Amino acid sequence: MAKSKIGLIIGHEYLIRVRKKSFWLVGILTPLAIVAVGFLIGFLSMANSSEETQVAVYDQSSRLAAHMEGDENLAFIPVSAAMELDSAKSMVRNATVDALLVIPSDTTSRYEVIEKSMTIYYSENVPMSVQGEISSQVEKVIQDARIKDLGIDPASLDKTRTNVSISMIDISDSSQEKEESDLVQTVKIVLAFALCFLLYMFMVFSGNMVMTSTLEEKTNRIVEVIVSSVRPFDLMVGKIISSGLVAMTQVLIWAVMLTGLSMAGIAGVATMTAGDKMTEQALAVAAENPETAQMAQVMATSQNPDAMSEMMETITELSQIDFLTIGIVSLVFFLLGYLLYASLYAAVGAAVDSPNDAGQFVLPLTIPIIIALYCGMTIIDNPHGPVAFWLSMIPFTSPIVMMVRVPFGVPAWEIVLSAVLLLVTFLVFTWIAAKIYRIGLLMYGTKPTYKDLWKWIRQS
Amino acid sequence: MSDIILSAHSLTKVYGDYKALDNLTVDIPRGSLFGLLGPNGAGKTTFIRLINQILIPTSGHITLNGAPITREDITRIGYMPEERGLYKNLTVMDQAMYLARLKGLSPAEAKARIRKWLAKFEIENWAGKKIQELSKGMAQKVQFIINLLHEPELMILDEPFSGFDPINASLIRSCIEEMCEGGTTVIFSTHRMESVEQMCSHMLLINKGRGILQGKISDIKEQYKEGIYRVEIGGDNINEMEKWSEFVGWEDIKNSQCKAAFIRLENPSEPNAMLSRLCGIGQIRSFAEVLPSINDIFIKAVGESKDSQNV
Repeated sequence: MAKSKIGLIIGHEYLIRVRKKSFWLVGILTPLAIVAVGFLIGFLSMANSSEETQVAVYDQSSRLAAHMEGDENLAFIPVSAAMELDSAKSMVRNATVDALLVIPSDTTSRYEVIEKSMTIYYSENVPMSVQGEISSQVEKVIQDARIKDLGIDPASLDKTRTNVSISMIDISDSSQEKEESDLVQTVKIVLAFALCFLLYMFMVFSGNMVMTSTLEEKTNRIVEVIVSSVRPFDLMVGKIISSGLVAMTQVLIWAVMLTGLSMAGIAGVATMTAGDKMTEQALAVAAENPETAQMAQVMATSQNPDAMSEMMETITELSQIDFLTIGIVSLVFFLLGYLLYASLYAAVGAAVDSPNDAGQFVLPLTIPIIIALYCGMTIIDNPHGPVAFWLSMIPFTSPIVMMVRVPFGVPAWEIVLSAVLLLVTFLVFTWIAAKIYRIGLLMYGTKPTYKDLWKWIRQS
Repeated sequence: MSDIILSAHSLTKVYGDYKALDNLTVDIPRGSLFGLLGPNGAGKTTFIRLINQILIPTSGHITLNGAPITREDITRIGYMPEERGLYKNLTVMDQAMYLARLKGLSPAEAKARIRKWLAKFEIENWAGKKIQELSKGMAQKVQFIINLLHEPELMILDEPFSGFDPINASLIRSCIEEMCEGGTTVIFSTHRMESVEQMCSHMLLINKGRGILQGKISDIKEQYKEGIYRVEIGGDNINEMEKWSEFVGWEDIKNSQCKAAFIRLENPSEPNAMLSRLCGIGQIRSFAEVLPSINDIFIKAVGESKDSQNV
């Protein structure tokens, strides 16, 4: 009986929300907006880089101009030092060049005057990054000259350069030594962030959904009719589950949309360019999005037979990650974390009369979530440090923080301890939330204080 | 089945240090139109919420059909709270379906009954309308219908007439009386004494959480009558009555040569002697016993219960 009623509530609440136009607008527009912003940024940076900045070099010392090398963004054009400075400047004003670099005459052996007193004259359309690029160019030239002065051959200096690579091997599991490639590290980081954000979204958005729908029924005054038909606890559970399902549907729509859009994008790029270079770029883009990575690889394979073996290698590398454990552990923390916060949001919705009054009770719920999210982002460098450990033990931060830690492997005892702490907290606080919910639903008029809530909890 | 559908046994509900309901014991006869009467804050809504199991009693218990009430019984009870409310942005049909199904009706059954009742109130064309498109009175009609869709054995109406215009109020009233004739027990909670007077067969009077008077309304009136008769009489000598020890007072009647007098008899069951005395002084138009109004009874009963508390 009670079960079928919870089912009825879930179905009703789910349909109401999913049938709303706003639900579909958010579902469809959000991924479109993300893609559009991505394209915009890509387009803008491409438009930026396509323009070459022309810099006239007016070298009064005659010691540097010959050695300055431009690149695709920057071209150095030496101008005769015999020219008047003013006429050189007028080249900038006439837009013959974009900027003028004036190097003072300098007879010191260590280029000390040049070092301190160079000037760039420019008019508009010069990116501010040019200053940095030019100064690093000049630095390089001066450095080379100084090396030469010390009697060192630049070629032999090159030979001293090395490129060290250190492999990381996890030996906590003695039966197998795992060597972690960069790819595996990246996938783990992406996974950590994705899980952490997903839970954050569920907690905050679905939590708020539970709160507003409770508040709505209360201010509509329909709640008394509802609780004369179902147990308030069943109503609360029904709302929490349906809001979770709504969020899940929303995420699913986003995933489908984003996959579709990036597939369309990659297909477009692949047909436009036969060259390998662009496909590689597409792969790089896709690597940030694991779902599309596969698709991109299939695309790449069809064009490049070498990629086949590369793909096999990737799969073997990725199989080092223990997806099953990550899946199970994150599911447990995800569910408990969501249920804990959603029931607290439900209690807030039941306790107050208007959304304005909700603020004072919502704030203490949001603070631990924000702390967990912020710390979750920072502990990614050191997922096993003391901050990570303690935050993943405190039940109000543990769900989000564990999401970040789990892909990097957490000792079993920590997982079990944290899960037990979370479970106990979940049970206690759901019990408290249910009490506040039951009493709060029928309390109108006065804005409750924490003292009132404590009274409600104590009375049966 | 017994004649009592619902009983409260020493029911007490305490909020903090406030006793909302104090040791209430009452029997509600099956098929009665039962008035739950008391001033604001007397504990009527608390009693109703206890019946609906929205609240849990501090002590005492409620039995339905002789057995302690359970969650499953909720489908046998209908409840229209005083604070009316519906989902503003749902259609009449959608919310009626949802609420009817929460009371345990199957979708097909719910739909058929909604159609039937909308037709009865001649508002079939509202089915697809959202509540926010309806006026307040219209929404109240919808709410009334929704609460009786599952055809409960026991229907609880909290101030059912508030917010209705006279035409709709009489529609609702005839609907309630029809339900009652069909065998449904109706608990009718109000602070308006006269509506209980007009409609109810039984009543419970509560004040400050205590039940102070209960039973069949005709019995209660009999118990509280004071032997006062009202006589309409005309004639030159009628002022002579003022000297009688039984005389209580005059009532002016407009547009008439008659006057009305109230007389208290020492032996109310034998009015004939008084009648023949009255025959001697004037022409009698009417002579009838005055039964106390529920309002009078209420004031008296509250006074008595105060006295007994003080002792």
